[in-house]
Parts: sequence; C-alpha cells; structure tokens
Amino acid sequence: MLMLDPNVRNWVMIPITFAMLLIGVLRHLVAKLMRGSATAKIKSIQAKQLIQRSQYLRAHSGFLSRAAFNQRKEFFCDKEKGAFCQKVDPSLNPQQQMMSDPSMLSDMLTKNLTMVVPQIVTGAWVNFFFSGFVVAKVPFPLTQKFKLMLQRGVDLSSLDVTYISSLSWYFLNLFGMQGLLQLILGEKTFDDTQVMQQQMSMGAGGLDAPNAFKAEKDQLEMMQHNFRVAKFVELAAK
Amino acid sequence: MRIVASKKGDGTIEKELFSPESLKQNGVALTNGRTIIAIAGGMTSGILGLTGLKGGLCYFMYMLLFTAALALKLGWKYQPYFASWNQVCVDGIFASVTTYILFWTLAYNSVHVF
Repeated sequence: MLMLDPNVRNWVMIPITFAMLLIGVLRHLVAKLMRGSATAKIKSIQAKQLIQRSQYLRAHSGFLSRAAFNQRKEFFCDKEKGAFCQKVDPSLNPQQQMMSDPSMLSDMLTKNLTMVVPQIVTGAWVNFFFSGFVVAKVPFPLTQKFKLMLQRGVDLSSLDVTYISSLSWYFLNLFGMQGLLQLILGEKTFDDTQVMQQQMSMGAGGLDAPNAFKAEKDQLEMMQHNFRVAKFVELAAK
Repeated sequence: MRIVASKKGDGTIEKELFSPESLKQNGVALTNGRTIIAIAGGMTSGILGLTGLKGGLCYFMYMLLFTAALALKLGWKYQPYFASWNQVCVDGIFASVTTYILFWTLAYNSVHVF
C-alpha cells in the first residue's frame, strides 16, 4: 500500500474536482447567453407549418368526407396552383443558406467554441500544473493495458495500475460530472456525445424545404382516403 | 396530447393518450433520481471501503433499491406516469455509472488512501 501525502488530496484532487464543477456551470451559462439571439425567419416558419398542416390532414383524414379531403389535397398538390408545387424560395435550401447567410456559420462556430475551448483550457491547466502527481487510487482492479493511459506523466514501471495520475483524474471528472451538473442546473446541459452527433449531421436543424415539400406531396398523393365517420354508427351499435 | 392507437390481437383498437411534455418531464425526474442515488451510493461505497467487484455489484443493488422504491411510490403500476416497465427499470442506469465511479473514487480516496 502506497501512502499518499494528504496535501496532494487537499491541493490537487479536490481543486481539480471543484474547478471542473465551476467550469461546467460557467460553460452552461455562457452557452445560454450566446444562444439567446436566435430568431427564425418567417419564410422557414411558413414552410414548416405548411408541412405540418399536410401531416395533420393525412393523420385525421378519416373525419373528412371524400369531397372535403379532395379539396384540401388539391390545395396542396395541384399541379399549377398547389402549395407544394410553387417555386420554393432558394434561401430555404440548406446548402445555399450556408453560403448566403454567414450568421448560421458563426452560430455554429460559437457553439463549438463554448464546447471545445473550456475543455482544452482545463486540460492544459491540469497538464501544466499537476503533471507528475499520483493523485488517487481507483477502488477497482484494472488490467496492465490501462497503465499507459491512466499513468500519463508518471513513469514508474513498478507502480500498481490502480494508482492514477492527475490527468486521468481530470478525465474521470469530465465524464462523471455530467450527471451532477444536470442535477444542479436543472436542465439538460452539454452532453458531449450529443454535440458530436450534431456535428456529424451538420445543419440538421435547418429545413430542406424543396425536398421536404416533394416528399410530403408524394405521401399525400399516395394516400388512400377512408371516410371513417360513415362507419361510426355501425361501430357504436356493436 | 398525442393519440397512439394500437390494434390488439382480437381486432379491437386500443387508444392511449400521451402528453409528450409530461412524459419527458417524468423521464428527467427519473434520471435525476438515479443521479442522486449514484452520488449517495458512490459515497457510501467509498466510505465503507468497498473495492473491486463488490462496489460494482453494490451499484446495481442501489439501482434496484431505487427502482423498488419508485415502484412502491407508483403503487406497483407504471400506467399514468411512464411509457413502460422497461423505462422505469432500465432507463439511465448506464448513464449514471460514470457519476457513481467518480464519487466512489473520491470518497474512497479521501477516507482510505490518504
């Protein structure tokens, strides 16, 4: 059993945890501050609501008579005057939107900035001030393969794997603090995995109006109308 | 409110009413409960000085205890609050493992190592 100096606990282990917690809170607040100015454009709201109306029509068509349904279908799908066949404003196309609208790009940049920069800064801080400390002992056994990862900066070949360096303690905090932060801040905070997913499908928040219109139009045209109200009397009598 | 209709085996249609917001809120309450249990349990295990497999098993015991307490509070039925038993029992168990490990290590080190 290795004896560790209590000063290491007081001046390395607890400060790292405390700093991580405060930085988590700060990151959340900064992100909230930056997020505030998002206003949707009226055109894209119109397009979204048009699609939603069509979806409602498909979902509840059973309550409409054949004539009423056809009339509404014509409103959406008519070849000349249909709402889905109009020329779509090119700015609703996400690729072009990216080109023409720099605010979207900078928005994404600030999001990434609040995400990545604190992580790099804290990582560098821990690495700079606390490298070479054996900070803690994890209470579960680990295989030798973890040695390189967990004891970075501590080059002692005979040291047991369960003793970890300050950088590993930092990573342990990084992952473990998520739940606690969520508890403290009362809402969903940054989830690292979620942000990564968002980066994968870039611009998924924006609406690809032309394609969405086409898909919705196809679905509406394919749909078989079934007037359910006519059968209600029968059903009630059963 | 959202209506989810599902056809049963005998041809009758069963309709269920869900409010997505409330469902989400209940989910959040569930995860928060699990996080609290993970923190408290981690500290308990650490102070007791459990190591290795014992601590890991204890985690699942704490979660089982939490689920049992929750089920007792719900009156042994998930109906008005959650979508299924699966959600009550399984959701968020593995998400709070990291929190448990953190507080386990913290308490264990503070009490036993230094």
